[in-house]
Amino acid sequence: MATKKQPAKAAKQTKSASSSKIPKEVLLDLHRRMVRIRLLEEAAGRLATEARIPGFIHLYVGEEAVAAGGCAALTNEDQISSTHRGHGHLVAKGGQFKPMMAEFMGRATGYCKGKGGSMHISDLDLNMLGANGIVGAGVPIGVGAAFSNFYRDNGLVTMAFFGDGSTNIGAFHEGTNMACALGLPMVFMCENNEYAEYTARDRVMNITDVADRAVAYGMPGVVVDGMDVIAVYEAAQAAVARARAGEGPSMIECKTYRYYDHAGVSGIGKNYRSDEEVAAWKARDPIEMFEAQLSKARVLSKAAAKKIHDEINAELDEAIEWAEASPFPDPATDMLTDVYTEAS
Amino acid sequence: MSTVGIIASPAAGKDVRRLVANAGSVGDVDKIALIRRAAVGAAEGGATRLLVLDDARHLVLRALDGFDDAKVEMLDLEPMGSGRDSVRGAEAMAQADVGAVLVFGGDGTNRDVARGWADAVVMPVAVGTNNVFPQHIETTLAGLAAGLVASGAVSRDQASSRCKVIHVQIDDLTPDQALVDLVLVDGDFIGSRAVWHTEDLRHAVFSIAEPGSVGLSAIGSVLQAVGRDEAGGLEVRFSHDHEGQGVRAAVSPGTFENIGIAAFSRLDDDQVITVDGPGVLAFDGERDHVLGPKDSATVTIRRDGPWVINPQAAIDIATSNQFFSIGG
Amino acid sequence: MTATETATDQRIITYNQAFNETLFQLMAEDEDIFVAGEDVGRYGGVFQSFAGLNAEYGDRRVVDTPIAEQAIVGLGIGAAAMGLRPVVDLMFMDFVMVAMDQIANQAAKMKYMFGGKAELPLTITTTGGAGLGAAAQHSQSLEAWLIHVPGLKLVFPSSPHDLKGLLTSCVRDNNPTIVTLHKAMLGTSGHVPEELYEIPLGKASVVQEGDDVTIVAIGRMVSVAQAAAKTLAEEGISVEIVDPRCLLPFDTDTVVESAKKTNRVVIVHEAVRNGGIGGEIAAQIQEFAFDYLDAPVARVGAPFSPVPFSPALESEYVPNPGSIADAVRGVLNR
Repeated sequence: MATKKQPAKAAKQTKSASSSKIPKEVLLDLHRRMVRIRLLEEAAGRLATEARIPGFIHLYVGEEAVAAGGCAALTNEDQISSTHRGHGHLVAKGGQFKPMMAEFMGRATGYCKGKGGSMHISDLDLNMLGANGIVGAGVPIGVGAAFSNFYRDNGLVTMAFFGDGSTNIGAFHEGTNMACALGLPMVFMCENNEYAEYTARDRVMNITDVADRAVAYGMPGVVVDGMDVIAVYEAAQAAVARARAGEGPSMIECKTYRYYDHAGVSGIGKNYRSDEEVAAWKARDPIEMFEAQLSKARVLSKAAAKKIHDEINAELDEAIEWAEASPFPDPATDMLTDVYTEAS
Repeated sequence: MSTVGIIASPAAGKDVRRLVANAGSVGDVDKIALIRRAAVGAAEGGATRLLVLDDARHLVLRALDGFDDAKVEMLDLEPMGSGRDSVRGAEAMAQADVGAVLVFGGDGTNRDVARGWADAVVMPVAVGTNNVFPQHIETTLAGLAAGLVASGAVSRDQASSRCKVIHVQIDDLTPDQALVDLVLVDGDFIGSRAVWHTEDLRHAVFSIAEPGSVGLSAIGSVLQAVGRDEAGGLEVRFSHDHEGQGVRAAVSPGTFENIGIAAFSRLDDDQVITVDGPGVLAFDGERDHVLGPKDSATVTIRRDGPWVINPQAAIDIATSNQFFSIGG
Repeated sequence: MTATETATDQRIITYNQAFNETLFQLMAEDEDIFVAGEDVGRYGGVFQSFAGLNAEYGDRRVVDTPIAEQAIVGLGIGAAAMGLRPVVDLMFMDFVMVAMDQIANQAAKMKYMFGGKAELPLTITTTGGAGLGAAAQHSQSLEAWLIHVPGLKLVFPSSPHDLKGLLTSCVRDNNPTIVTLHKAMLGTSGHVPEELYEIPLGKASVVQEGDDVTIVAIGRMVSVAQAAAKTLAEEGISVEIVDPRCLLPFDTDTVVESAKKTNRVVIVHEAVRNGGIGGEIAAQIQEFAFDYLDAPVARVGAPFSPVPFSPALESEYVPNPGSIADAVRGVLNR
């Protein structure tokens, strides 16, 4: 497209001399986003085990640095597309506990009135384009949102989250190619947790780094430590700046890990991965590592961090109570609503 | 038995500099091909055994799949997926009668090898971003040079020279080292490791600052060049008042910037200086260690690092020795 | 050509021109409308249905896409969710299957899964039907696949006039809609008013009134049914023809009313008879007009084979006036 090429000046601006000093409020924000995800997910896992949450649940525990570092580089108006493991993305984009818990429990007060559940949780008001039960399907939808930004020339960016497994499906390749062909303002954010459901990456891919695929579409691809929220944030900032400046899409591959199984809350004692491997990744826990760094940098003491955990847990308790007191949708009146938009 | 060791960094050519600078990308397929070419060269140069370090990507194993020009042996080390792999690999090779080590990676990977085996004989091959320590050379020839030295067809002393090392001692921690540059940058985090915010530069020590290089050492090279064969190095303190003196340098691929300079001075071998925190110490361009306000590092340059093969010299000597002649 | 020759205010244009003109007019009135698809930009579409749009509205609003049906529909979904009004083209209806996840799992369900929060003013255009010797993968009529999916709307216009009105309604509708053109009708002509107008989605048209039998015909089969009706009229059989126009939502009332009036129904579609929409329509008729029926509802459709290539086979594959007339005689026991 003739319109996608931007003057070189814009490119230069994003790479000009600048400081990497991350303001304290951003550091605390990154921390809070991660802890909110972790505690929500641990609570959701408990509730699922107790059968207080029905259906499938795909927990984000272990991967918090990716959603937090990625979304912190975005504005509220920027969009994200998500995956079946989408709770973390929604929380990182500003999702609130009450409607999330209510949705997990299938209540009428949930984000999706109980019609979507964990796997389809979304809030378009937060520009979160929905968790998605079809692997890879969120990518083309993200491309559409990025196209709307390009179309309106509004300076917004779309970040598509996706897993390593989704990079083996056609929709991913179609979406990345189209975004690159059209030069859309987009960041492809790969959560490489080394497993496609219960199958190790090296059993189904002949490459190790998903970022290797980026070049094939004509965009830069980088690999970062997905357990280090600062590493993710720095790369995301750079990629978002490129996209905003009209330099097109880029891909960030975050090497991360899923503490629990593909679905549910178990995660160890399994035949598809070793407990030693799980322990090795947990030894580099993104929240523990960041809290140690924040403590050393005198940004957040251990005691202050604990207080934040306690506050968030209290908020969660309240949300769970609220959600469980919420009504279920009514089959008589709610089954057939929201299938179509009625003419106004 | 003439043994060439092979250590390859899986991370080379993939870091954040593809976003923040104009660095090129090197995929695994490329890396595998260039390792294979080097192995062919090594066998041609006389290596009868290739002792390889498995890496998290299994790049070397994939490169040597079906290779039978020399015996391929694997070190018994499980890759952990970090720079520690290269350190451990070098340590193991030091005990395994390895005549030369082919190192595929950047300055950081060579640093790891040097940390594991201080007087290794290395043939560094640049893979990835912008490198000062390793040469950009066709790997067939790099492999050939390593094979020639490992087999004794060319002597180590003729074809290589020891490199300088920037020794770094932080409190009572294990001594550390850099091969090209040690830079203190503002900040509290290691993050994505690369250094690209030049406003953050505070203090630097260069052992090599040669015209023709790209990266932080390019700053030194335009202040006062220090060749890799010269003694000592260069110390630079940066200024950010935007008024004073400065230089313009290619601080990363495709990126020139104005750098404010407060002071610089030539360092001698064994001269001791201190680099005071707070900040983050970047070793050979990668943020690696956070210094608190009261922390400091003691820094000394000495020529006691690995022997670095000059491939052109090695091939030249072999040619004079009729190594490549057939018939007659 | 004929426009000036025909009487007075009756402007005659082709089915393809009606499509093209409608898009021009809709894009002029609404800046949020863009068109995207394979070949739709510079080239103007494989059937030139999009001719001139790119020159008029530029690359931003008329977008050449990769051959990537999932991404084409995904592009429309994401952009629609952000408030634009995309028209994305899938060229051949057979390619709907390539994009089926994005259509059926994503576009159709997004609003419901999101608890009503999503609104998708997305239009997918495509061409169905046989008759051009395009063989098994470029000739299908797959409406039955699509009407099974809650959340979609689907129209199959049978004339240039209906095409303009239905396309306008679909583009202005705030749901995912699919407009199926019949590729063998692109050159057919008819009266089309110049200004934009809407035909309500879910409203059938009684193409011709009659007393003895109702033919429910879809898409190009409407004109084929009209030819059959002409023959049957010579035999003294009075045929009523109902064109549902919109297959989802379906105008059950009009069809049932007609069945109650004539007491005999023949359903004609070009798709394979087995599992075709005719079965659904027949079921609805027996649910609501069982006591009025004097004969079992008959269905005319394609035989249970892929669409053949050879003209010798293809011409027999598609229902024709003869096979429709035979079915009508059948329900009349003649």
